[in-house]
Amino acid sequence: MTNEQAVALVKAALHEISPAKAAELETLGLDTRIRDAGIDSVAAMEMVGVIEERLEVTFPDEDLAQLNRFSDIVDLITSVAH
Amino acid sequence: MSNQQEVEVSYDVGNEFFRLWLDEKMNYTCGNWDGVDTLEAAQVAKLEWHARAANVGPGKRLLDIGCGWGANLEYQTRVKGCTDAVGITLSRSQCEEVNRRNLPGVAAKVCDYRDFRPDFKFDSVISICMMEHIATPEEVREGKHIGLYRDFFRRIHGWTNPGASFGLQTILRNRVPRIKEDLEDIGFVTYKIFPGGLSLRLEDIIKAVNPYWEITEVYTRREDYEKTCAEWLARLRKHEGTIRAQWGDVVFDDYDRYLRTCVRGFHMHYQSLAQYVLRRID
Repeated sequence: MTNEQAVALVKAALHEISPAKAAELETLGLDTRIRDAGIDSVAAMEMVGVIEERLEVTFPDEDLAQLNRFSDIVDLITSVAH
Repeated sequence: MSNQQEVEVSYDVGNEFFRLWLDEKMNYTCGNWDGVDTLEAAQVAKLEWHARAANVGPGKRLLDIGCGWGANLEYQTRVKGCTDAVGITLSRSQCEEVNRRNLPGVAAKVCDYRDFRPDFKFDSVISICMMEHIATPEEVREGKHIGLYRDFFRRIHGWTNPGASFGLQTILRNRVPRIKEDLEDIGFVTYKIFPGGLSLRLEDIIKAVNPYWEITEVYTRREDYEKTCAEWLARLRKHEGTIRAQWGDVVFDDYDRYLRTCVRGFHMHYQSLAQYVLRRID
C-alpha cells in the first residue's frame, strides 16, 4: 500500500466516526496530534477498528498505545499492509 | 506518575467502603486461586507466593512499595516472621489503616517512591500492583514509560543488599478492545477510577528490568483476576443499600461499572495479571 493510499484510508476512517473532524483534518494536517484534533482514545481506537476491518488485518496491540499523531496511524498501516 | 491527589481518588473513598467488599485483610489485588475456593484463601495464597518470591523470613528486611492497607505487611510480619519491614504508599487513608493495625516491626509512611531515602538496605522487596501508577497514559503514548519503569528498578536496586529478592505483581494490558462499549468502559476505569495510571505490557517489564534485576520466574493469572473481580463485585452488590446510603449513588454505580468492566476485561483478554520472581543482579 502506498503512503497516499494509507493517508486516504485514515481520512476515510475518521470520516466514518466523525465527519466534522475529518473536514478539520484537511486543514490541520497529518502531523497533528490525534488528541489535539479532539479525538479521544476511544474514538482513536474506533478509527483503528474501521481501518483493520477494511484491510482485514489486526494491528499489533503493543503499537496501539503509542499512536500519537495521525501520521503514526499512516505509518502503522504501511508497516503491515503491503 | 499518578500524583497524590490521583492516588487518593482511587484509594481514599473510605476505608470502611473498601472493607465492605474486599477480603477481611483488605487485599486490593488479584488472589492466587490454585486449589482454593474462597477470596480469603486466595489472598493468603497470593501473599504466601510473594513471601517465597521475595525470600521473606526472620532477620530479613522487607520493603513493600505500594503497601495498600497493610495486608502484605501484616502477613509477612505475623506469619512469615519478618521483624523489620517498611511500607510506602501515597494514600493517607491506607497509611492510617496500616498504622492502626499496630504491626510489630513495621513502619509505614506516605511517600512517593521517588522521594524515598531509606536508612538501611533491604533483603526483600514486594510490590503488588503499584507499577500501574508509574506512567500516565500520556507518558506511554509519548514513549517515556520504559525509562520511567527502568528508573523504578534502578532505585530499588540501590536500596537493596546483594542477593536481594523481589516479588513483583502487575496488571497487564493485553488486547486493545475494538468494541466501542468496551473501549468506553475501559476509558472510564482508566480516567475516573484510576486517574494518572495505566497497566503495563509484559514486554515493558522485560525491557525495563535490565541491567538491575534478573527475571527468574513469570506466571500469568488472567483467570484468577477475573475470579477475584467477580467476587469483589458480588460482595459490593451485597452491600448495595449500605453503600448507596453512606457513600451515594454515584459511588455505587461507578464501582459496579468498574468491577463489571474488570470481570469482562480479564475474560476478553483485554487485561491479564503477571507475577514475577526477580533476583538482584549484583
